[in-house]
Amino acid sequence: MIFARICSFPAADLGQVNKHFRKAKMYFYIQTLLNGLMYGCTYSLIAIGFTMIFGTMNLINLAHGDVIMVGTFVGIVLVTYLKMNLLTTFIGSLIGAIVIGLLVERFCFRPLRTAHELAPLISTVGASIIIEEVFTKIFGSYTVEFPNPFTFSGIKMGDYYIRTNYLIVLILGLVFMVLTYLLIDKTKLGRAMRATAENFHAASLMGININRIYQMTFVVASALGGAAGFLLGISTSSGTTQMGFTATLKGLVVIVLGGMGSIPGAMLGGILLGIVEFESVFILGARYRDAAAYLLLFVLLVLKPAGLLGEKTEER
Amino acid sequence: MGYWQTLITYSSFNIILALSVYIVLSTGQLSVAQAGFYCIGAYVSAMGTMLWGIPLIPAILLGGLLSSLTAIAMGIPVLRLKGIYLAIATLAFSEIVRVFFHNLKCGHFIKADITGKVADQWLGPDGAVGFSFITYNLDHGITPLEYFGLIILYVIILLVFFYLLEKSRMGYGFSAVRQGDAVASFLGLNITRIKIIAFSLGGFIAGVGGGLYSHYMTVIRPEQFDFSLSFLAIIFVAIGGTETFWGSVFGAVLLTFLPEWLRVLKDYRMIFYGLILIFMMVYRQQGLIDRDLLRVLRKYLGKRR
Repeated sequence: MIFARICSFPAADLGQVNKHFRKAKMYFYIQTLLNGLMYGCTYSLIAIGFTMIFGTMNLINLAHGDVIMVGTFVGIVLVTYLKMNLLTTFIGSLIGAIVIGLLVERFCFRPLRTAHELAPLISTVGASIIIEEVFTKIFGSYTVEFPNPFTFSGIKMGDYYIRTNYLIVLILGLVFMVLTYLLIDKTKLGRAMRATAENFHAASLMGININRIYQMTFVVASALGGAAGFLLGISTSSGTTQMGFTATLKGLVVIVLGGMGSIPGAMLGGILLGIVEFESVFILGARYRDAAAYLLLFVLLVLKPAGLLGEKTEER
Repeated sequence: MGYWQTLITYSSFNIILALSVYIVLSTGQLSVAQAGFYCIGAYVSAMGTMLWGIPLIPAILLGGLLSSLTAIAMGIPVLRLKGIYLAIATLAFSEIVRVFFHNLKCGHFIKADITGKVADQWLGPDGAVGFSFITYNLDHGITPLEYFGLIILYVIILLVFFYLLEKSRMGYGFSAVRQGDAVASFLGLNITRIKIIAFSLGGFIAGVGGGLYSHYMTVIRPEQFDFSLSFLAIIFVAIGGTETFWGSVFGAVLLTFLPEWLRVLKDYRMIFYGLILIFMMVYRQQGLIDRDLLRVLRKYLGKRR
């Protein structure tokens, strides 16, 4: 490693050594920062779908991680067994995730519209258990490979390296964020969604079909989940059936960091979480990776409960 | 006999966890940190008996006390939050606790057997490996049956406590806060104080439960106390019923026995478990046991309210 080479400099030239040492350390900080930023984009993608459902329905979908997992596994099946190209696989992932998302909406949310806030949490945990078990029955509990051409490729930018798959995730993540923003802010459907989020009784009196809006929200959120699953599969070149739970948890952390229901917040929160996790591994060691992320979350919740980009409300 | 004793022991641990969630929930606050308090109780009491030489019951109480203090320390900053935000803050706190014990290493080596042929073993919390050889019961001649009695005794004490609490001034205060902060403050109640009391009691109940758990299992690992344990405890309460503590007790017992009854379904039982969770929430959101059912039961048993 570079450290070892620097340490074997002649002792007389201490100033020079320190200079190089600082430079090398700086180099690693920046490279870690880049990796964290890139990896954080997958967290952002996970969180955008999450935050959409919260934004429209004021409910948390704890099965969203499993929708993402379905996206990954549909992709794996299409690539490995049906030998499809990446674009068709991507569309397949979206469709698979949308189907599962609609099922979750139909059976876990629609009957519970007027229930207290704990009920949908439990019912989606039930859905999450079912989806995970069914997929574990089919694919086993081992890590399955997601073959893709980007596994070992990287791009050199100056002194720093960027993995191609992370770059794809970053670009597609930004594209999806803009598309979602346009959908919600500029279309008629988006206006109906916002009206429903504001007050669904009033919205239904204005002639908005609430069931259809909730369905559309789930279609869009699950499509984003499917895309996230596909990109997660590509960026790690693998998938496990247990990844749904991890994805749910990371998604929760991110949407709270960014502000519940805020889509730019989810994007920013994801990148922030990625950077914090990678830098804490580099500075503190891998054992403290989760602690750093949760400490950040805890402190932020106590100091600024609305999240980084959340709207201010009285009751948080 | 051993089968039933084990199952009843496990249901007791689950009852303890469910009640610790219930007492916080009875002030309208959802805490996902109970696994963290359980973890503190388990580790501290085990360190008390094995490393610091404290007798069993004081050590378990020490664990409970420390959990309770931690709950207060956590409660003061996070109780400004509500609903899902509070849930996530407590979840974050619980994970911080778990990572702390994940990295904690203290204690000393012990000879694993008298002949010295087996390699030395580490006594004390050993990071991710956890705390092994919590052999206090074995060393001091406490039989499994006696220890079983201790666990049952604790559960009975808790049931009596909750029964009295429901009828007490404090219990009415709890349910007033649950109805709404505005109502409760209108009645002249100190809301923050009531919530903190509920948090500290929940921490104490879970901490003592953790101490009993670690001395029963003799081996604990930090991974056992992650958020899925907290979720499980919340599921017990939600399935059993959120309106009365009998609901939590019933939910904990039912969901401990359910996987055993579902054994006929072999590998598909987790799928049925999930289906039951969804059906329960769709058709009976208040949980299996609610106030109306209790009233009917009391009438049936010929008691007056």
